[in-house]
Amino acid sequence: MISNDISKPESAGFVQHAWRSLTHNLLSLAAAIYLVSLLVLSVSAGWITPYNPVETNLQAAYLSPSAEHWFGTDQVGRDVFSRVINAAKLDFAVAGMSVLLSFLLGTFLGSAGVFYGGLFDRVVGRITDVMMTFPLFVVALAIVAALGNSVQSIVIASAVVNLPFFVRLSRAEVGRLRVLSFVEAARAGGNSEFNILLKFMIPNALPTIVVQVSTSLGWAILDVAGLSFLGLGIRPPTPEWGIMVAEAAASILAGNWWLIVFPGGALAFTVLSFNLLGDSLRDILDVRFRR
Amino acid sequence: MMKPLNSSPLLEVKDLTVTFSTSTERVKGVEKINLQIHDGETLGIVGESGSGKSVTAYAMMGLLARNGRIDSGEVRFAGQAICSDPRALASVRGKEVGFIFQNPRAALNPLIRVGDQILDAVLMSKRPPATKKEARARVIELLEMVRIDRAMERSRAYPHELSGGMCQRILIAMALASEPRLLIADEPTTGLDVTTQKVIMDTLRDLASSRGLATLLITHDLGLAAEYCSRLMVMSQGHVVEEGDTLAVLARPRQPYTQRLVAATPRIGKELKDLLPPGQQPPPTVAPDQGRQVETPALNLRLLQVEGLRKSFGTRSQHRQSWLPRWARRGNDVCDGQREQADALIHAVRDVSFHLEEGEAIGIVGESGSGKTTTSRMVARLLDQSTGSIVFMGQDIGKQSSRSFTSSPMRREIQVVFQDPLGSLNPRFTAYDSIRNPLRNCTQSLNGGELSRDSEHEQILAAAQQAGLAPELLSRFPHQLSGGQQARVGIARALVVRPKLLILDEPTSALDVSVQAVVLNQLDALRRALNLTVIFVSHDLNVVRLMCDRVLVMRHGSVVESGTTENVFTSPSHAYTRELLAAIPHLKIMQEVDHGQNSAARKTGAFE
Repeated sequence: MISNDISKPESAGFVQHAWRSLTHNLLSLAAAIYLVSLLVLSVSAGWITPYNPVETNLQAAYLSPSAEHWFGTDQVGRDVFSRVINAAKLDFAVAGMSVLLSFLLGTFLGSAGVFYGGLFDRVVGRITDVMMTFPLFVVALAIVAALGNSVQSIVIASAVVNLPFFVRLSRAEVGRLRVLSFVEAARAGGNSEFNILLKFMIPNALPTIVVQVSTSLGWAILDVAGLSFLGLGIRPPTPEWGIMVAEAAASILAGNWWLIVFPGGALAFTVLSFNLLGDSLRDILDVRFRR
Repeated sequence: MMKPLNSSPLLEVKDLTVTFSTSTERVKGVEKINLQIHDGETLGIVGESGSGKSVTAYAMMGLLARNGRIDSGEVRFAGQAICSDPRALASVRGKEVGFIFQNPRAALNPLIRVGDQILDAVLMSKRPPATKKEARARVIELLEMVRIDRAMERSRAYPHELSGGMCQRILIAMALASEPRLLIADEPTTGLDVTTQKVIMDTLRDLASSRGLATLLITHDLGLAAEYCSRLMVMSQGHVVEEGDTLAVLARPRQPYTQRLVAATPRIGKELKDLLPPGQQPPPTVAPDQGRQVETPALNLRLLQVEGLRKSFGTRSQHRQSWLPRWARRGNDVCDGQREQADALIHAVRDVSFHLEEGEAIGIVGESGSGKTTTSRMVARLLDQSTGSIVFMGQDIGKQSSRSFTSSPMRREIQVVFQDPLGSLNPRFTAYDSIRNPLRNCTQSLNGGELSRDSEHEQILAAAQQAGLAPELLSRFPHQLSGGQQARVGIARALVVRPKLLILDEPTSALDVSVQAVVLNQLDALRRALNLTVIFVSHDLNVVRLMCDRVLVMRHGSVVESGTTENVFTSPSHAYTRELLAAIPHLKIMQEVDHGQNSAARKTGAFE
């Protein structure tokens, strides 16, 4: 096939470029390393964690961190390290699902709205505006309360509260892009309007939107933890960072600091890392930064 | 140009070397630049993009970007070294030396009335007036000096209420506020219309001569420099190539680079192939088109007939806002007269009619706002006309809306090469993808099926070859290509579907003259080889003259003159056409240069 060497130019150099962008910004690199290792750990949690995260052992309650129990044990003797790692799996999955939903729906609604204009755009725009007038966490609470205490309702609640940001951002980006001259060139080249939206608008808006994806992942994890902290959605004894922090709150005055520091720290570092990573993600995805 | 040799120069630069640090290395900006400007003199620095002409000027005044550094060299202003002494620099910059930049609108604060911006400059000057009242009087005086009439009223305007040319004059007034001895003008008229350019440059020249002001004019336009500068410095790739009196440099360029630059500048008496550097042949023969046999041009085969084309804007938004009280409607303005206008329809194009025979090239010229681009967009079916018919190949395509035309089998017959070579390419498409995209769309709609991969690949390579684009460049993204290469991708993309009518919308206005020369030649060769019918939209009359058989001159949306290129250029009948022709700086001086060359040649011939 003669065409292969010319028509497949993108794959070459992408890894290099991604690596160069990451090493250029050491904070992002640290964030990426942290998130990837946490992800790997949590996915393989079943094999590597030394204890069952829900198995109680009242003899071993309130043990401080040691070689045996790296992060200590909690009030019913569960291993905190095992619980923190297992919680990451759940938090990542729930946050990832909800952000994926709001990213797909929000980007499509926002970019299609501004691209086609008219009534559709106005309706989408105004609904977004109205949503943003509510305190979003309270909206999430209300949704979970209405849909019932389940993991699905947390995913939906978190997706809904993240949606307006994607709508607004993609509206702004596509609004900027649609007046550029390559869109006119695309029309002259016989592309249908839908094709222009799909092949010309959204791919060019993606680098900016991906920054929002990363930030939203951080928020979504906070949402999940926050809801569980308040006793909604995920319920004990399932390991979850918010639940662990809530349970630890009772015993913090007793000096059992490890109960709150490790899950709380994992939560804080994860959210921070998603925010730091966003910056480099844009550089990685934007072909214009490639040399 | 006779000045006493012993007078010390106003500005003297010795062995200036500037480097820029990038993430990986230090690159040379300019190397060992020497220049002198005397009082009252106008020095032109000319060069193509990347030649270091702006870097030189910015480095002298300590305005380099953060990653730039002066490595060695000396800058003296009126005998005082300013390069290494920030305090001396501050006492000179904005006080003894004034600046004017390209894109005047961006240089003005959009939220402050222009009069107040000039007032700031007046108050910061060397000898600020004692009272506010005197300062205000000075503002008006400055505005009148740069020939702004109704100065009182205009001083209360915001930048967006003034035209680009007016904004540039405001900037000149600001630069003159402190009565500088040197004015540095960096591409002051790039992006302005030729008639505006003439007004600005004439103002600058008169001010310079009446006040003994020295001027440093940085420009890519050899013609402009030729007309307004007494001395020229030609730069290329960070070096000074040649320097001397304007006429000497242009009439007898000693360096090959200058010779090429002079040759590539279009002017009367030159053919397209004359623009190419001596020794370089016109572009390689265009590969014969295999897919569609070239019909011999049948006489009087009318390809396109445009009748009474009209485009107005403003109806819909006006209608939509009609329930608002008058003061709340969009488009109201400070002046009452303007409000009346804003409420009326804006006619971008009114009653334009023309026709095109097969294989003919017609030029549409005009200044910004003349409606030339709007007209071409309507013909290309990228924009719906308000009224009028567009009969193309015997079919009124004006009846089809621009939206539905994208899926019409006629779409491939009319293709456009856009003005901004980079902006008209999808940043996420490689050159190959950009060329393939219209081919896929148009062949699909034509045959209802896809081309085989191999034949698609062949056609893409053929189009790239026709446009003069090397195959190894096809895997690059637009930002990885040079301006000329980007333009070629745009041309290949238009050609790949084998259109009958090619609309060229200022295809070379973003390119350097030497690149423009090659691209124009390529386009002309293609046109002849493929028997293309061409609409060439441009503000550059010189280029239109080279490329077109007939010309339409547009102004304020109407055609003011049309005829064969020969007639319009040699005996323009409309006053506006004459004004337009007179405003082009290249023509007169360069003609003299050509004339001088011929007579010089004759002279040497006679002596030998």
